[in-house]
Amino acid sequence: MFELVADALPLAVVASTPLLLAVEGELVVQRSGIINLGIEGMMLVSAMTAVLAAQLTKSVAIGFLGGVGGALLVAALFGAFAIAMRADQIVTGTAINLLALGVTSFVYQELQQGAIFVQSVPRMHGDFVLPLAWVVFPIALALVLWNTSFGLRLRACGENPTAVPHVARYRWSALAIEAFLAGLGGAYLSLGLSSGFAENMTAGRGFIALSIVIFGRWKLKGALLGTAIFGLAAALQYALQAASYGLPFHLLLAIPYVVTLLILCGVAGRVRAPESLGVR
Amino acid sequence: MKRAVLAFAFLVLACAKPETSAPANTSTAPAATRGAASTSKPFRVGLLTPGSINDGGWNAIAWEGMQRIQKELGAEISHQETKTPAEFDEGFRSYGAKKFDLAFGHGFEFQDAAKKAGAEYPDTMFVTTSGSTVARNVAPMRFRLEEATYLLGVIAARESKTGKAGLVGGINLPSIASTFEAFKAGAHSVNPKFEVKEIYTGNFDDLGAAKVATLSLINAGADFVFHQANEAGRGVFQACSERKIRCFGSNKNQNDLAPDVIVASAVLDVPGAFVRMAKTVRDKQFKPEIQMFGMANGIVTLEWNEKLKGTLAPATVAEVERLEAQIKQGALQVPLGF
Repeated sequence: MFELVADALPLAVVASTPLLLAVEGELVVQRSGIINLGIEGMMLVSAMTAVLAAQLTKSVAIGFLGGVGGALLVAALFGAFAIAMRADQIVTGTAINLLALGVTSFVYQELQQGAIFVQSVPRMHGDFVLPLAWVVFPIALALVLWNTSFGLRLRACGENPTAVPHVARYRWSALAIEAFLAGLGGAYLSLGLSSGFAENMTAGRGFIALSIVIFGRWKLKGALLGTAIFGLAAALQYALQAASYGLPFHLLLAIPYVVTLLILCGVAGRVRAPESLGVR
Repeated sequence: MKRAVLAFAFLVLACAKPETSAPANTSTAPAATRGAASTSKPFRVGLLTPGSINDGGWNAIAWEGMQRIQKELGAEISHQETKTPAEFDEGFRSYGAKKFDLAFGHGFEFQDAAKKAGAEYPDTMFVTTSGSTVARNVAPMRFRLEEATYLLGVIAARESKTGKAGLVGGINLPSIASTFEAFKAGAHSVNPKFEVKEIYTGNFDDLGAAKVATLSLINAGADFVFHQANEAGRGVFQACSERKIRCFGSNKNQNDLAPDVIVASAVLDVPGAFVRMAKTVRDKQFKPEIQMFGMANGIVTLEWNEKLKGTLAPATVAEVERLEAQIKQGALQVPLGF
């Protein structure tokens, strides 16, 4: 058993990095009072734009920039409806997800004949995203959110927006931070974890990120813990399938979800969402 | 669901792209003048698909088959996209009423409609891709990819140094599980103690999950990997490239996707099978029985990666070629899972 965990651990860290970036982004945006259900679509679009940018320039770095750019575009669309026009956030987010899946699948199929999605993407040399996601960003976000007046006001937008002047400005900033993180996550998914784009390749990571933010109680510690547990459980269940103990694989596939749920439910502390989360 | 989503997105795109690639209901071609069976009446073939023929997969491959039928047999072809059982009935009836020679229903789900329409329109042959419903003018096609995956199992068991191989599947569908069982049967024919471990990732989209699954198999000692994960198979190849572990391609010739590690691919030529089927009907050779397409008629093939073929033991290659010949002659029956 120990060996299984030792083998699974490095896999888990790499495989859950896109998820962690999404969780961090969603945490920031929810702290400012917005539920962005469209994060799944945001990641999917950035996974595609990252591949397009990397293929056109043959540069991984520009690929990552392209990923962030794609996520910013989606964020702008979401913000235009959810912040500027005060549309319902859940409906907007859902629409963004459907749009992102449709558009990326459409572009993917239209470009099937060309070489862009067929040729292998440029490989990353050295994994610079991993330490950023697991160490630098959590510390930076904790400092910004809890030790600066910007962070205080951003969080206040989520609790009591009437007390903050220029609410929209803080929410747009939060959305931009989320787009940067989720874009990086999407790009890592298609350039680092896997090589290339596939339809619907995010496979629900955005939705898992949403639930980890909630079960992590909108705290960075909870977010890190939740992602780590989920990632480890996901890698472990593959190791268990490979060890073929004869357990039905459907059960094993459910393990990460069940374990994360149980552990985060058991973590002490009252659940308290930002007061004005999702309020138009 | 996915199709609904796509349809929605197309609406959102405000019909920026007119339907150029979708065929008009009946595209015509000059009637065939060759062939014993050719008469003044053109040979006409219809196709019902459960989804868009631009899907780059299951339905696209059927449409490719139809285009080849048009080109190679000079047939008139027609296509309808049908979503519901009522539309299946209507689609088949429309071909029957217009006295088409052959109508394909592209999937298991068309069997009932084929049977009903077959009874009503005796002059039209109704063929479903997969299934088991047979009547006087109704038959299913069945593809025996297992014959090739059996051989992949043989290669793995003969060439493995660890005595273990890994399988990565998307969803546990009968057609997928069956190719895995054949792989195991092939491996066990060489060495009954050879271990074959399998992982299902639960979907066909998640390249990352397929990669992690493959790495887990490699960690567990597998030094050959075969996949049935469609798109997500690319994650399998990436993991194998990184760890320098040999692997196999499936359904298409995927050897070029990772030429340094893919030893061979088990290839299924669905368009070729459509053409064969149409020829059989045109030449009045149609028999009401399950239409088998395997290595014997060249629809299923084992495609070597010539670059790596030389790195295998000559005895392995010779043995696989011997077994391949036996399968073609029918001397070796590969187990079919369903």
